[in-house]
Amino acid sequence: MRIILRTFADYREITGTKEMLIDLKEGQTMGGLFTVLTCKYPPLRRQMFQDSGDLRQFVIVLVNGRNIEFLHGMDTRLEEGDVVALFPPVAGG
Amino acid sequence: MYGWKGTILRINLEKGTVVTEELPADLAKKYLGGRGLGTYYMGVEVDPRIDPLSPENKLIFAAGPLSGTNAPSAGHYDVVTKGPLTGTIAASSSGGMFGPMLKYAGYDMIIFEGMASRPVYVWIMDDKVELRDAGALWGKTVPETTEALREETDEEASVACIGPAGERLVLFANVMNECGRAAGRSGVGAVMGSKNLKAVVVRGTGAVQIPDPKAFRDTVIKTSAKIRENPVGGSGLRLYGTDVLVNILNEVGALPTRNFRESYFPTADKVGGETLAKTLLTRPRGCYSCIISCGRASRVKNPAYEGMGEGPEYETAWSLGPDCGIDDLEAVTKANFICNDYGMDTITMGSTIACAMDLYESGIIKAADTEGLQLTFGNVAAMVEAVRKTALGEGFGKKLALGSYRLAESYGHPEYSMTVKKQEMPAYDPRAIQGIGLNYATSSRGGCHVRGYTISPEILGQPLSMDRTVTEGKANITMIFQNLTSAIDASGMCLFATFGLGAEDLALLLSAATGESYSADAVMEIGDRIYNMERLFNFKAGLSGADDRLPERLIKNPIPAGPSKGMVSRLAEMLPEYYKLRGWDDAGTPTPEKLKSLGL
Ligand code: SF4
Repeated sequence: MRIILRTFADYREITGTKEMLIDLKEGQTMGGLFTVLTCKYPPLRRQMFQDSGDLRQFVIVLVNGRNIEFLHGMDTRLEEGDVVALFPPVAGG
Repeated sequence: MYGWKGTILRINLEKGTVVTEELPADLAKKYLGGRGLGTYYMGVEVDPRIDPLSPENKLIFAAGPLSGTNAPSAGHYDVVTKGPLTGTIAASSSGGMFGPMLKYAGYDMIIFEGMASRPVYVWIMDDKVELRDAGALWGKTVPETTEALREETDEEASVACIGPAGERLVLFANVMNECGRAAGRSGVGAVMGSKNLKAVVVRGTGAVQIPDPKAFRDTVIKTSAKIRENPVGGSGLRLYGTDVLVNILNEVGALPTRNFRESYFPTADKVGGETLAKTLLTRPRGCYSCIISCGRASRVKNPAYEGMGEGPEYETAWSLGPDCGIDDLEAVTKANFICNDYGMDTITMGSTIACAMDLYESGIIKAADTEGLQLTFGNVAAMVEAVRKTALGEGFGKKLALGSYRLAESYGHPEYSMTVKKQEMPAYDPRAIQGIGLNYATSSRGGCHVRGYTISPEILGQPLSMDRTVTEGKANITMIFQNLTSAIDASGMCLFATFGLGAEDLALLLSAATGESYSADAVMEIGDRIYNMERLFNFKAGLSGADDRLPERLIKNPIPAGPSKGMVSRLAEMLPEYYKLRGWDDAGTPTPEKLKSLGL
């Protein structure tokens, strides 16, 4: 299956692109996607994750516009055509 | 007094008199300053039913006890008055250098009364206060005025002034200081214009007295470190500015698009903070004592939209951008510069044009009404021209100068106006983010995000994460954010310091600066008091709980597409709980017991 990955702010600087298509095994989860991603872009690991493997504070991961915290976290299952968006801590107002 | 200067300057523009008064210590302690003290004096001295643009209205410039100290981001002051756009109490906060300068000159607050018979400005140099002729400045833009006044007075002076929009009583005219910092919302600049007051120029050479400078310094170091350690306060805002929010709000499907017809704009990235940082940004800019530096100094080189100035902020990039169906950052920035130079609130300006575009596309406004201006969504040149016409008071611009509510109402269709209490809502769709809808509806100055910024928990996960799609828990968080924000606005600190600091930190800073003893609970109670006092002012002005509403479009029309497709605002689920938590009755009126408990 193929998902769409969008990166923003500092993460965009790491991936060098706004959007990419990523092929994953059927039934892959967010955790699986991150394994693929951090292999491809090692600096993402340090920027997004603590040593414990948990996401850093205020990092935002969306699947189809919903924060994975309110889905199933790293166990959130991805489906064909899903849009995953990654944001470093940001703010404004 | 420590922290406070203990002196209020009262200037009667009609009589040309200037007097100083003592700031009563008990009032200072109870209301702090800024939005708190300003609103207190408005409540006591002004009949809330008056016409905001009449000489009976007063105009207050109020710093807080922390303004001008070394506390982090403590350069703020508030302009407090009855707002002509909303008919409510209006308190507009601004950063820069004006608040600290006012303190260094020896004052916590200036109260302007009456109306001058001809254009004047006030020159304050410590204890010398003069009303001077401003005839030659009338009609000048904000940068022209600022430059001329600095030349005429002192190069180091801080200038807070109105542009031609304020002079012409554009209902969303603002007060600008240091050229690029705005007390932006609710039309406080029109009140200044109605008083024939072009500018307030201040130069102070004194200092803010602190009881124990070493203890205060330690508190400042600790609280500043907290902001620095916060990934947002520490570097995020400096790198990308507030405009970084464009993409995240769009990705969750909450970026109001084409006058809130939709909530997702496929090319939003073109006006986002990442694009701004790579194209027009020349450098980040900060206010007095700020380690965050969210401001943007920017420059457009394209001859079609050439200019230099500050911005755009997120709200501006949205209102003049996606809300008008536009993704041209250069044009948006140019329109922002025009608003800054002429002294107009960018949120209301953009939203009013978006409303006009909606009415135009619906066949309600005709080309004959607009001198041929094709106000269709996405028409970049028309958007910039509409801003220019409003700034110069030309033709259809005179109608835009009334804001979207009065514009839409004049065509018999107020439902096209995306306002609460006649003030335009900012850049977060309440259908996709439930809590912010409750905040808009109950905001004391109409559609506004900086009364209770629930976007922090609902989108940014700060300081805790809340599901944006549910209504549970939103009444409480909205009330807490509204109260904390009120206290921050009264303290003289910038609201963005809360990206790192909470009520405990504010209590520590206030205690160390003033020598009074504040707990976190006491700070929250001050916020609660201010919020209730604002509510009382508004109710006396003729508003009621029935005004705590959102436009029907947001309640009845589900978001048509994008990540938040199908959602509507469920305001009715939150409002009764919110009233109850606030200690208000079922109609939203503060109960006598509640008021008594707050000493009101
Ligand atoms: S965070 Fe931004 S608005 Fe606030 S004080 Fe700093 S520069 Fe000014």
